[in-house]
Amino acid sequence: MTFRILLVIISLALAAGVPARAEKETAPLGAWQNPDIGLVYDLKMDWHNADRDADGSRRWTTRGFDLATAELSVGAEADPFGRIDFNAMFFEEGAEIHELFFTMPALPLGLKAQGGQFLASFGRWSRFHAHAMPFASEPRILGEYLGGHLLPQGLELSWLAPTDHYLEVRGGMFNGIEGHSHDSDPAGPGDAFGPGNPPPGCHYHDGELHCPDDPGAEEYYRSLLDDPEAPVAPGPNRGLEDLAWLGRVQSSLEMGDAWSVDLGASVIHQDNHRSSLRFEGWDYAKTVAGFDVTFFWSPPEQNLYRGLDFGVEYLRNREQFEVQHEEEHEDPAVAVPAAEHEGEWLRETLTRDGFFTWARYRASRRWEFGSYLESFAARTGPDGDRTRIGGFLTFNVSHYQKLRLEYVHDDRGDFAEGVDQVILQFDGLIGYHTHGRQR
Amino acid sequence: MRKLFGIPFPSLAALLLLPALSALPAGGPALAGEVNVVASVPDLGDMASRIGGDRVKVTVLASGREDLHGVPVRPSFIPKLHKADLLLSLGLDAEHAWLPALAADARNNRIREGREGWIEVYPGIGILGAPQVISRAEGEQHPQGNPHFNIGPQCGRIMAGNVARALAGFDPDGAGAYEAGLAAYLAEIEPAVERLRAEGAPLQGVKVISYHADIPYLAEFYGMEVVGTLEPKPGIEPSAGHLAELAAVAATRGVRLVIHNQAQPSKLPGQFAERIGAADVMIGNMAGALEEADTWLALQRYNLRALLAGLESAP
Repeated sequence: MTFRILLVIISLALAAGVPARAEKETAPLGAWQNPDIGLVYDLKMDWHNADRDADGSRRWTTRGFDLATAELSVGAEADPFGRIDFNAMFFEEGAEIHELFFTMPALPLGLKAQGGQFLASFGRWSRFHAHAMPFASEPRILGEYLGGHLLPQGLELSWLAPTDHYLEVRGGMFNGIEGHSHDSDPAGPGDAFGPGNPPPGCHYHDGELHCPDDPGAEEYYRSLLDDPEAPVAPGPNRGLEDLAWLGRVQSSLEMGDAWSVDLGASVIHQDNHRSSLRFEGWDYAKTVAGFDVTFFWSPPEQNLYRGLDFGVEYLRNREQFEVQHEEEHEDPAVAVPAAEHEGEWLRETLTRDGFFTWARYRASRRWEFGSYLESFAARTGPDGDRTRIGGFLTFNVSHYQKLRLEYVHDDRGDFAEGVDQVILQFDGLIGYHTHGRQR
Repeated sequence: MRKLFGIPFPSLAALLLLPALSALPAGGPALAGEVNVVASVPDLGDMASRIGGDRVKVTVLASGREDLHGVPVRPSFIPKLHKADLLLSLGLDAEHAWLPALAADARNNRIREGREGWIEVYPGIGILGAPQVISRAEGEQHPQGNPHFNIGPQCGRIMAGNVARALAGFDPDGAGAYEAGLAAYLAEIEPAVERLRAEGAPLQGVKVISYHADIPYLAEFYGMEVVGTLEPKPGIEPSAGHLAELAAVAATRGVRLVIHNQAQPSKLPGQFAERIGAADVMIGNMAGALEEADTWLALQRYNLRALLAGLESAP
């Protein structure tokens, strides 16, 4: 049904004809009603060695070409007070509303409001559309702590301080801490459950997951797969404690003509992130906080041809889980409070942190390259902790098309060896598509 | 927590308050007795200062050393735009890659693109280079025409007139002062422009190649003939094949100058000029592009000097 509605909306939008921007001076009758329309798509192919042969040796495989995203954006001023933007995401399995939100950009007192479903103002990379990031592989720390790019439904208000120095404070109220990602992760547990993509070192046999070399991992994955009573997100009738509350402060400093640095600190909290199905009134809270620092070098005379940006994003996630007590847990960091009886269900509070750091150099108008490194603690303890290091080389065919080659090495505690992945990415854009003043 | 239709009261209040707030006036107020003018480029800042005098406070976003189409977006621009009464821009999408998004984020309805405080200074200029076919297959086009008129000396009078009209429109009490400011400014630049025309007479009929399609107004003023551009299409990087074809054309047509500006790569134009036996000339693309080109008029003078020097040194 959603798919049909999207098709109707898209057909109407496309029927409107020529993009409005091109018609500024000599707009034909009716053109003023046209929204800005754009289509972006992101095609990927990867090779990775997460799979093993029967003898345990690593095997390079590919998932083939993956139309990771095709994003249709439609947006326009709705009235003198604000605009509406809509981004539909198409992928091989169907379509979904990616973003649909209003923006009232200039309220009194330096306020701006956004409402609907949109990328919330948390951290740095979570706010970026995947195709707009300088690397093909999305930071896994976002998936681990936020569920991907933070894309909830809600309302966000931002305030521009009335000073000569740039300072912006944002506050938001959302349905929940809900992330979103279409990136495939050959080394991550999140995407490695299905029979078509078992976890590393595991395979499916007659519909049953087997991890021959690691019974512990098999038990863990099966427990996740087999738990029909796993805690759930709050239902439709919510109190304030069921909503997620976001805060962010961001500023910027300039150091001469060429150097500047963006600074930000974010926090999002949800009292009832998950509710127990086993026990009435058992709710589990989640708080993610972090800071981000990004340096930019943009020499004025060469700004189209040379540039550098680098930075770090640190995240700390405090989250409660419903766990079954074990007398002895192999990882002291996830040890549950003392309990009298093994098997008793407990609320486990786990605090984890990690970082993502990157550098990108623009060597010419066409070529740019860079690298990234991330490391973070996983829920499953040291066995699941991940460290990834990657490098990328991008060829900008023009402002509207680019090719990217990326290599990433992924180490997780329970891998005998790391997983290597090579990604080839192609991005293309037609029509009008903008991310505001994002840099 | 009390709810209405399942929505907590505080949330409901916030939702209801937004439309009400949006109807109230927004944007930073002008300081008493002073029009807060933000100019996208130094050329317009220079003109606004000269015409507005003490009645205006002028802030310029670009330093003048950047490429006009890609001025780095800095958060520090936001508070400046927040307080602006008027935002002066060249228009014709010259600043489309950076200015509209900044203006939209400045919490100032008045200067958002297309609003009363968003001023484009191109009206009245004889626009050159309007594309016959609008398609991205033709590169990064400007659908309404070439926006690099600020380096055409013939355009200064019209740009200044539009700046004066914008100031008077916002501050009618100062109309007389702006008219006087404009008259004084024109009295300085019009004879200077005529002198430039006379001194630039040797450029008449000279065939040139530019890096980007950004010199049609300059070429028109001095009577130069633009034979081609190093970029095969606007915004598309030069390729070996295109340069080979261009070199052949240049040899046939007798190209004497290869022109680029301070924000474009200097190595390739130099190599290409050497290859075709022409002189490599660097001009400024905006006021502030170079130390000796700190005003709009100084920019025009600098560019002429550079062109004449190039012509003199051309083989």
